Amino acid sequence: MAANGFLLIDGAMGTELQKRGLKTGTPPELLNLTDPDVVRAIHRDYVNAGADIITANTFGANARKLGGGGEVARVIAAGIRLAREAGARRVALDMGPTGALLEPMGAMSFREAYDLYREQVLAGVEAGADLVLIETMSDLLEAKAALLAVKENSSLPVYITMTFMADGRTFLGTSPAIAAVVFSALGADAVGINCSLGPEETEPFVREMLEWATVPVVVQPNAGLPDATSGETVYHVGPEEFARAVGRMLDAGVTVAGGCCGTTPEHIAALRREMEKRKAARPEIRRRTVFTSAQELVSLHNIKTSSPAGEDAGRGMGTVAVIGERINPTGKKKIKDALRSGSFDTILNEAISQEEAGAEILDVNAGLPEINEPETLERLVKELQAVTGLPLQIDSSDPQALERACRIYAGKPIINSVNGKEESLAAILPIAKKYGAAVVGLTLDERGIPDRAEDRLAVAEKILNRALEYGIPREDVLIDCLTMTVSTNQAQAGETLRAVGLVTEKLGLRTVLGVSNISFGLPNRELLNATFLANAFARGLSLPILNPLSGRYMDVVASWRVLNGQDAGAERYIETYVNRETVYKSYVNKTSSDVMSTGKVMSTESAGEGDIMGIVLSGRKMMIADAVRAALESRSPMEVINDLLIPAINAAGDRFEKGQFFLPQLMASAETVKLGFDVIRDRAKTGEVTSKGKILLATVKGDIHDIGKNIVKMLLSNYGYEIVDLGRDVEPELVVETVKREHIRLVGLSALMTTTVKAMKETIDLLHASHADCRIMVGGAVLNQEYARLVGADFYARDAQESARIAQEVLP
Amino acid sequence: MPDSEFALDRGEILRYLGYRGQEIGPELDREIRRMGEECLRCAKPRYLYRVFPVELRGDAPVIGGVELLGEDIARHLRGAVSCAVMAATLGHEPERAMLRLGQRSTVSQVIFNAACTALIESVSDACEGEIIRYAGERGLLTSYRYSPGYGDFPLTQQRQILGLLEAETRLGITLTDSMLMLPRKSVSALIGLYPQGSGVRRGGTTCQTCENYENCAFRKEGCGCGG
Repeated sequence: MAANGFLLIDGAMGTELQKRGLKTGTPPELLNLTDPDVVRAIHRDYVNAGADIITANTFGANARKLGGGGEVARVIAAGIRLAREAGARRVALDMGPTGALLEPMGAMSFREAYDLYREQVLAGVEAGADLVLIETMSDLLEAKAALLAVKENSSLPVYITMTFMADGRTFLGTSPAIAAVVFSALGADAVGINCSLGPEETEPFVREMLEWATVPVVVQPNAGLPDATSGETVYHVGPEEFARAVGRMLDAGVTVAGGCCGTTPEHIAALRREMEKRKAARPEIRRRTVFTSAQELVSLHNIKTSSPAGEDAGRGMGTVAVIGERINPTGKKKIKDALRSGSFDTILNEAISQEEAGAEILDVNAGLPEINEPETLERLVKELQAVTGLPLQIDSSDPQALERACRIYAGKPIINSVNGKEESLAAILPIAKKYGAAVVGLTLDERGIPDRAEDRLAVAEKILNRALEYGIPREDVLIDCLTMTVSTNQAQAGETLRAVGLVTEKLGLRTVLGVSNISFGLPNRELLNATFLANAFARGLSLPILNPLSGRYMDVVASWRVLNGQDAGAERYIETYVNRETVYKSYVNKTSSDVMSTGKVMSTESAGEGDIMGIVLSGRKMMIADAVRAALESRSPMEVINDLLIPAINAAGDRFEKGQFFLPQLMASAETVKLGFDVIRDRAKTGEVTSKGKILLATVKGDIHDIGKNIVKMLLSNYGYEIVDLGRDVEPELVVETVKREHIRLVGLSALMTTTVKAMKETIDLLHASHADCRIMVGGAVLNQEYARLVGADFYARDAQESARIAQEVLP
Repeated sequence: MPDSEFALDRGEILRYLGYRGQEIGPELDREIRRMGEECLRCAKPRYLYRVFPVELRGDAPVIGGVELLGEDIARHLRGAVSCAVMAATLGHEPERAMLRLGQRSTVSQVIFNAACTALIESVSDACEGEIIRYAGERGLLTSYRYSPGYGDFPLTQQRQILGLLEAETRLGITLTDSMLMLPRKSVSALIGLYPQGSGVRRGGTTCQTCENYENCAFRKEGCGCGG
């Protein structure tokens, strides 16, 4: 430590290089080999300015940016050596973004990113780096890959900083609070902010980090906002102004600081003088139970209450957050089918529905005996993160599945669950610790589920103590006191509620509880569940696991939030309920059919089957379900499909071909027909609706333009085909594997870029080489009839309508 | 950086949807409005440009140390004294919204995509407008936007072009191995700056006159390339 407990990092390398006349256009890290004297001289200036840590010129020294050929190790070895030769007290291996966007938004896998960083870390260790600085990160997941690469391949300290825009988010939507929480939990030695903004603009975000981080906070601002219009980038904040502004952040609790773009040795020297004026002091660390995705943060706390006289009335009641339970195959055929087929649309939709209904965290369970759970859970978690910003609770009894899902999760998840058995504790707790997850402990052990609340408390305490031994902070241990079915053992409902109270009071831990199990085997389960839920809240329950699509449960949640003070001034409650008519009516003098219509409101006008053509052509989605139900009164399901729905979608297709419809109108008709199909599938008995065959659709490897493919999918699903959609950026091997496993006879491939047509050809070649018995149609903007032939396809589909014609030819 | 709000032109959205005067029902009308609002809500338009002198290495123009390949870009920049490199993006949030909408409704997704295309066009226009002003103040004329992938200007130079702007750290634009910009609603382009009397005429519709018109990926997908 240099000055009074502070650590001073150096300033910019890039702008200093430009000042010395070095050209942009080639990776600046190569200068370690070509112009070592210049690089060393810059380091020396920073050493003389008083920097404790010199950042080696290795920011972009990854194999992707430098190209192959063993350059990474050479460039890094030279970079570390130059810093050392300049007299650096400590040399940091510097690692920036890979330059590629990770899945699911981009095409690079977590593993590829990890491997790039691993190569750098190994080279840095070999070259004798003293610590690692991961910096200028925008993507939380990429930063996590880098952090894991450091921790798994070295014992070096590691600092990690992200870069934020003026709106307080990274390019990918992460806030300073989220970065602070996630990297503290993952075991970084310091977290912080660098680049993009000047010290003035950075300060509020640094304060936010200090509020949430449990490790030291580091800041490296630019010398002001960049001004780049006329060729050269210019920064306007001078050394003294810079140092004074950073000084305010030192007062607020920052203990490690330096500079980024535009800062010079003078800036660093000025900052050192500021450090010498004061003593490093980290403000008190607040311990909170918090979960995050890459974009959202859910935190639980006790609500401060005060008496009318304004005195502190003691510990207030805890806030509550709803965990959506619906992504779980138990008792849900559609989810089982989705997990088996690997086509996750149903599940992704379920996630969105739950979020819209007010869930704040989603439980994700992919436990089916016949599937490869680790692989499936990993992929599901990855895909869910593309469509929902809610934090996830990863739910499995398979430690391998938990580990794989936690590893690629962008954020701080909850693991569901560990229990009091030795085997479970030893397998699950290290995963929670390593990946910085909160963990749910079930109050059962080798002897089963204790009957008495006191005994469940004892199991909870054992889980807590073991978690603490592993270094998991107390606030990250959540306890599930286990709901037992009241119809089989009436005394148990009370014991569970009592256990919730005991764990809350005696251990001060937050609790989780799945409520639905209470009512198993009894009528009107929602009523019992809601009553149980309200009582559990009163005992201190923080995290109910429930079906958020039930308005009744969400009513209980909304009203409880008035009673516990979470909904300050009952604002949200009033807004929600002021104009909403109550659905619970008096039973007196009413027949049973009049009451408790908590379900869907029936439409007053109901359409007849004759209107199906009109409904489809006008895309009136609200009306199709009733019309199809009416049609099913007098016709078989297959008759409804063949005589009513398919002619209607054909008519829409005709209009599109003739230019009477434009694309959104054709799609609206297609979506309407699809809803009709859904009604039929829900009502038909097994075997009554026969499939016309399976069609596989995929956007090829390297390409992530999938709107065209989605349009084709929507249309084809209206002709009675089963669509197996492998999504975008699909490996050729996966296509072949799926074709064989699912006995697929028609494959549709799309590619939008000239650069990805190659991957289309590879996929088709592989299909041919494996003698798959299928025809292949291709489409996408860069293709035409001739290209289609060149890549070896059987058909060229110029638009979605054409793909439907091809499908009817191949699979009549 | 943009400091003004961007408006969305309904006519432009319809154009990207392939609209040719069909009657639009109330439901579709509402959806177009809703998706336009959603696009404006989640987009974070950003743009950036830098002006470099044009040097010549043989016949090939060189800007910021990057030699530009192909005859078409050389022809485009012939007579230019300098060249503005620009990039614009809507940010990642529309990408996420697109994936999410795709789960709910293909109609919404298709309309949202068109709205985003219209918006990135207007953001690019705003950036181009600043470049025209910059040129005007120096008595120079500008040509239209020319992007990697046009004519024989190779798409593979995208990485160097974006590198000149530090577009990765400054705008959050990354490239895939197949040279696809992410976020997808991003534009990169070169605009030549020419002395008066050099015969350059600004404007004209660029898409139809583009040599890549027949095969243009972006056009077929219903979204402009930004040119």
